[in-house]
Amino acid sequence: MATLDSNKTYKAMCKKGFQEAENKSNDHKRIEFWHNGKLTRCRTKFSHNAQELNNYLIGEMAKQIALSKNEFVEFAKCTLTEESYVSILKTKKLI
Amino acid sequence: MDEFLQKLREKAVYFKLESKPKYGGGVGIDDVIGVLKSLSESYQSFVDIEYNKINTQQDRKKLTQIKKGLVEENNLIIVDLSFSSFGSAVSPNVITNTHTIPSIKNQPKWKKETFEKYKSIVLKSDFNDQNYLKDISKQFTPVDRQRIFGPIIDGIINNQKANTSFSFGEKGKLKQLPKPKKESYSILVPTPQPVQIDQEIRTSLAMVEIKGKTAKPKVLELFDEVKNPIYSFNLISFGNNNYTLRFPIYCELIHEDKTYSMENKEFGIYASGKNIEEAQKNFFEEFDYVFTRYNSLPDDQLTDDVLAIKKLLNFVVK
Repeated sequence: MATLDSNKTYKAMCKKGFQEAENKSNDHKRIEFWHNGKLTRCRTKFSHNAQELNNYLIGEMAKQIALSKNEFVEFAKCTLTEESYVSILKTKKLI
Repeated sequence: MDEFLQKLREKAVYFKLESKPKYGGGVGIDDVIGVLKSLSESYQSFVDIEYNKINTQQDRKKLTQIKKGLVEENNLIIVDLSFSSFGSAVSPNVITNTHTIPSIKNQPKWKKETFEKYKSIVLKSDFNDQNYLKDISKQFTPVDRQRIFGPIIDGIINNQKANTSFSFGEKGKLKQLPKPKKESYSILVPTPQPVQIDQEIRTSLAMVEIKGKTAKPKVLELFDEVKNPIYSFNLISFGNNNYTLRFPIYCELIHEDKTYSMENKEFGIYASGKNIEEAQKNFFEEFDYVFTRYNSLPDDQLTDDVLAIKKLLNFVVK
């Protein structure tokens, strides 16, 4: 499984409906997925020290936003669109 | 009607009851009923066991319905009766059928073959023949043997009040069934052994209703099956926030590779760590986050899913 650049992944996600949330932690920042002006349960955290996302972190983040590892990589690399992500969440009855 | 019965008589099992001398020659009604009941019970068990070999229906309710039809189809009916002593002939209706039984394409043929097989295995055999006993042990489980042979041996052969003789077809010679020796009997009607069934234990989360203080909880709803150990929390603390809960919330502990994760799907909380303590700490942090976050936003800014979580959180937290 390939690794992902943390900053690029963060930016890619923010372009596709994720927004940074208020956070008490100094270690990490949180992003949440908003759909049609409403907050969904899908959220994840990014470390402030911009580390590379390894296989383990990809798996954890994928789980947090209701995707498989492969889907998460595609989402980060922009081959999975926001529309496709929304339809995945609809299938899982999360929106 | 006569033609119909005549056809059935050709392959019917004939039997005759003769009272033992000390009962003065008459045959008791109870004995007649007992013999008919034993024969019917044994035959229905045999039919059931034969059908189980071809049945593909897994749904218990549907199978019960099918078996009800199967019993009706294979009921033994009296096709001839002689009143001189009690002589009678019984046969299933192998000519017509009223039920459709799955897995049986040609029912009259199946019923005819099953009845012939039953006669051959149960009513025409020598119960003390060693080869026969070996074959029977291979073909039928102890429980099956008990169901098939128990009524015949205990209800007919060992009947103290009347002797029953059988013949096959209208002109067959009446003959008593052989009395099995003690060792043969133990094979034909084995004593049931208590069986320890290793049952797979599965765990599910459930919503239960408890009336009063002593009533047994009643399961209202069974949620997803869980495969991992379950942790429950009555109190959740993170930072300066302490949440006392009205009832415990549960989370599944998942151990994969070197990671421990805790998940509660109802609240949409998933957290992990290098060990259980770290996973729990992160789970508490997530709980604190969703409680604070969801309550910081008005309901119209939450999806239905998140709104439901918010309501549940506010109900659970005291």
